[in-house]
Amino acid sequence: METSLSFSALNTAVHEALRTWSTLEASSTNLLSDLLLIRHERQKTPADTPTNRKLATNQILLNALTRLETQESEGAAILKSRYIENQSLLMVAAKHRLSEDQVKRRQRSAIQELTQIILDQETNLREAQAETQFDELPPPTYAQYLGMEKEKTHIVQALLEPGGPWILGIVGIGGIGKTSLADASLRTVIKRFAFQRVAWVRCSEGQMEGDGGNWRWLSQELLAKLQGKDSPGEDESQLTLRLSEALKAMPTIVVIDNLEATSSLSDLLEFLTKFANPSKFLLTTRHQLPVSSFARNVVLGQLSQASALALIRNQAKHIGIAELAEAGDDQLTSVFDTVGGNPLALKLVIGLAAVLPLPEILDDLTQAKSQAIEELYRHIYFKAWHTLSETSQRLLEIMPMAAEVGMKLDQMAAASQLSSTDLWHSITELVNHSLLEVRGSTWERRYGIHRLTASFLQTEIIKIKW
Amino acid sequence: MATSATPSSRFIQSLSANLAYWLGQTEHFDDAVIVGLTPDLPNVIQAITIGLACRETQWSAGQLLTQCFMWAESVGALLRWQELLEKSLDAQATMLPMDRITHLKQLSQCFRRHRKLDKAIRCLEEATELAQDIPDPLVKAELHINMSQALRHKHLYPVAEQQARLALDLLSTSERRLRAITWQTLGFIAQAEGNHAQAEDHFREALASTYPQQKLSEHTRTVNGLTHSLHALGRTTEALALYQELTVLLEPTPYMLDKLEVGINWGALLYSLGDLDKAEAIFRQTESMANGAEGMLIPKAHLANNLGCVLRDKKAWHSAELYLKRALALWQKIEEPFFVIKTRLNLTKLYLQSGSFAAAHDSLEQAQTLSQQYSEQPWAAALLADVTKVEWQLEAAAGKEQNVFPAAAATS
Repeated sequence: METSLSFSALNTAVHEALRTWSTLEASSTNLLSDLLLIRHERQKTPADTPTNRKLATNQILLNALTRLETQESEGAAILKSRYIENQSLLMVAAKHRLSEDQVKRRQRSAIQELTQIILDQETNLREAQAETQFDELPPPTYAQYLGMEKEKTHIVQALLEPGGPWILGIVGIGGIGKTSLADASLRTVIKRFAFQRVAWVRCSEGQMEGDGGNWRWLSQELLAKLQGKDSPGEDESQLTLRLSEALKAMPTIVVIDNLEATSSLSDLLEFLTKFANPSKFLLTTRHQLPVSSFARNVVLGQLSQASALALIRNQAKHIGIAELAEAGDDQLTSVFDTVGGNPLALKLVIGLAAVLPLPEILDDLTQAKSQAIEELYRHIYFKAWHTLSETSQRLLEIMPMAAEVGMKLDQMAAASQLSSTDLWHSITELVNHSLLEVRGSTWERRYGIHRLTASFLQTEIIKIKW
Repeated sequence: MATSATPSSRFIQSLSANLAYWLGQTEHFDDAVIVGLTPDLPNVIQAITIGLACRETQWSAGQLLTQCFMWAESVGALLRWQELLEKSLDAQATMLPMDRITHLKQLSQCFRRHRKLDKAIRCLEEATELAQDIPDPLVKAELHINMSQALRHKHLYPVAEQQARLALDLLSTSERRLRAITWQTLGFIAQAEGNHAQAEDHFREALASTYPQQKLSEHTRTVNGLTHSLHALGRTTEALALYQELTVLLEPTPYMLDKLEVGINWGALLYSLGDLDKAEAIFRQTESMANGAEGMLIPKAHLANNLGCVLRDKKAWHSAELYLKRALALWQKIEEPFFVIKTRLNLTKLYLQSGSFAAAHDSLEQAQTLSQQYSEQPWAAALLADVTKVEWQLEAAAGKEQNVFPAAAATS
């Protein structure tokens, strides 16, 4: 779909659409058919035939003409006479007591005004759609997306491709940036207006395990997001039918984030395929999807040096370490050399740099660098822990009590026993340190921690096995 | 993973506070509260799990665990609850008797639901012994009721009835809820013995004991039982009307088990009336619900068997065979020999009707072998009669097949 709307191109298309008012289109590859206005209108008659396409286009023109009548009645009347009633230039001139040249000039002007009306309507509709879809996404865990541009382009292209793949898997180890990449990709796709809806679902541990997978949970979650209705008593066949109707009727992107279980991946793919086309699915997972014609994997490796340095600067700027944000490549290369290209690890180190001297941080991590990534994380987490205020430590310590769904504020307040002021201060500090994740929606915020953070807290701070 | 060390007092405080928070949130349950809280069930499970790992908070975690049992039961999380109850009992070697009794009682209910009846009974025996020193008669009464229910599932009906009557003796007329459950239990026992008139009386006693704030699931369970007996008594119009009413009542609730049981019984009634299409529709609808639920092996087994029978009667041999074999596998997993034999007989009838006599013979032989293994069981005699009946049918059908050409043979 064309994303930019050029006035002159639209004007030409509007004129052409008026000119062919009574004739069926030979093909649908004209700018007007790409407009959201037309696509919304076409949903009223699902059969995609030349007649229905033409009817939808004409309806949009009529709506715009009605608006034009209130602004410029003569121009609207001329257009109706010329194109809808198919009257000749001579007849229209006589009717309006104008010369033919005057009619032509007023006609041209009226078409431009009509185009402006349609352009304004289309822009409003696009903005509204984009806003609605952005609202569906969880808050991003980054201020500006950096790194993995190639992978992002690949994902965006795959999602915008008219045919398959219908299911894309973003695959990588913990902390590598799968969720951020999914989010960034979606924010680009939303602005292309290819999908009418977006739904984002985040999995908890064990949620997708079980006897062939508990798809009931997934179906209910998706339907609640797509239709805003709960379905507590509905049986599975009803849920599947409703979901199929919803996803087949309107092109939707569904994100299933944080898939951990491997045992049910094949079953899940089989389940999702029922609902694909024109809708597509984007999954984030630590395990590759089984090879098939309808699914594709995008496997993430570490960030390149350039991307890593850009991330470092951006994160430093975001949390207010101006010096680091403006540091040269030669100063920052040591960070990349020590920490590597894992985005979470880099963010944690930058969080540390707000409090400790960077050379000391890096010296300390140099030993851990040669060992497994887990050891590196352990070092970074320890360092981060010791830089936190007492109240933030207290808050972070309770976060393993949160399941994947995340904890609500009142539970956090009760468990941490922090005052409201201290709680907010600690949340901010922990988010800035990339130690706390914001989840849920604008209307119901929940907070959680990354699995690696939970693992660190359990083994090194809390020290209880459960 | 680090080995257990002593957690900080700060963490213990937070853990206690977290458990206290959830104890407060779950103090009063009704359907609306359950629906509202259910997204946080994973957080409650996490609170209990971590709470049990820490000596200082084990008691609170145990309290939360038992307090939320009803919630877990209604959303089909009993398998998880069983694990947590066992963990809690293991972790807390010294428990107050009443706490231990509650744990054991709920654990027995988990076991009973999954047909681990011997384990259920052992839990109740231990709880009963502990209850000897508890002056409150209600505690003993509840244990008798639970024991009665477990014994019923073992088909030990006289002893089951005895336990239920012991409970009634301990309950004053003001204990409406427990009396209602006891009468309901007696109703199910009479029903299992085939005494449907008496079952109806007992169920109606249970309904007469309704009380304010009665749980919908308890009411529907009684009505479901009554409906099944009305069906057996030939009062099918009344039964059909009640099933429809129950379905509407249960629709907005999270009570999965009750919905499944209503579906199974309703479908069975329609099947008995010869309405195969409607029966199949109800069973399939119920099956879809069951497929999305955790555990629920027993209703799933019943459904597979029932659908198998419907499809068999509709001559959809292949589908019927698949369903009956699935039912068989489930009953074997549940370790319920009574239903294993019954399903084997249904499979035998399928092979018989479809003309696969060799397969029918094999299947019947397996049913006979199993019946003989369990010949000491109280239910064995009645089942043996069924086995014999199918054997005759098979012989008759096979014999008929062999007699097709006798005239031709004689003249050749």
